[in-house]
Amino acid sequence: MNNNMMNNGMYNNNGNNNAMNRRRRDMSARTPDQPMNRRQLLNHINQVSFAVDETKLYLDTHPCDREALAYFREMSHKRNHALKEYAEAYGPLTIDTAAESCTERWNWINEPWPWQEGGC
Amino acid sequence: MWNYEKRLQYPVKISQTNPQIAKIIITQFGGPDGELGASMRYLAQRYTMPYKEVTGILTDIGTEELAHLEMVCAIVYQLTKNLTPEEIERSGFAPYYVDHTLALWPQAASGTPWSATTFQSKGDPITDLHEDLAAEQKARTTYDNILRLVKDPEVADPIRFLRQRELVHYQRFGESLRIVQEKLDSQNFYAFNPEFDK
Repeated sequence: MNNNMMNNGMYNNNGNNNAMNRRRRDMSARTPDQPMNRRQLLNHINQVSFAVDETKLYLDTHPCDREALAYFREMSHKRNHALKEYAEAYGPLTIDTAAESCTERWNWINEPWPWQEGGC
Repeated sequence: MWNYEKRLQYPVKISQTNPQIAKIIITQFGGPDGELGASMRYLAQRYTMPYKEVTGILTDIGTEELAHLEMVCAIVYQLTKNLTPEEIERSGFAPYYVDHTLALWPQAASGTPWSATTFQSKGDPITDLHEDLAAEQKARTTYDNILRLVKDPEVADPIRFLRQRELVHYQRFGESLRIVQEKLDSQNFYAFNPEFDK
């Protein structure tokens, strides 16, 4: 019981069903204490972006689904945060994150395009 | 208004070129059931759609189809990258190459150019949504046909993703049709066209 209380942190609670369910549901599971490398961060962006795309379509035809709305908010927040993090470290993927990463030069054209080798 | 996002919706990383299969897959760029036609169909139909849920779904699916078009083009591009004249001759890619070199151009596998005649924008929500449901199934069949011919897992993986999206879109269009029918049902079902008769 004491143990349970001590382990009630968000990321290291292996015995907690809610945490496990959340992790299973959450396509973006990540450990915040370890910074992601470029590939991992991009995979994370692809996953949370897909969750946003999928939930967006669902909400178009189910606009009052509260659970879906909450999931959308959570994934959308993670996506925006990760896009900003990626832009600062590697260059922008969206025009709205270009400002921070393009102070010296226009990095929008610098990194490979998505269909090219090394692209996203 | 649209903004470009500098990533594919699902990654395409193909290490082995294969111009024969590229000639087949290009049909999902510019063929009769391809992604370009899909996007244009939904984005054209949405302007006169009177129900906000369905206008939303046409806009958002029409936008996602543009991302699928980009994935198909990335697959074809990577399958035909750096081909030598010998490889082009041997693989039967010469008839495409002579007109387009290694550039992307929207055509069917047969070589027929992309055409707006492959879709309708009829201005009647019941009619248009039935077309949209059929279109998603036709695209799904095309991806099934492609998957029977593809041996390379690096090619099959993104094709499977695209196939799966057809099923989700079909589901959402089915819900859209139900929404339209419920709204019409509250008036006089099939007696008038809500995009025209007021």
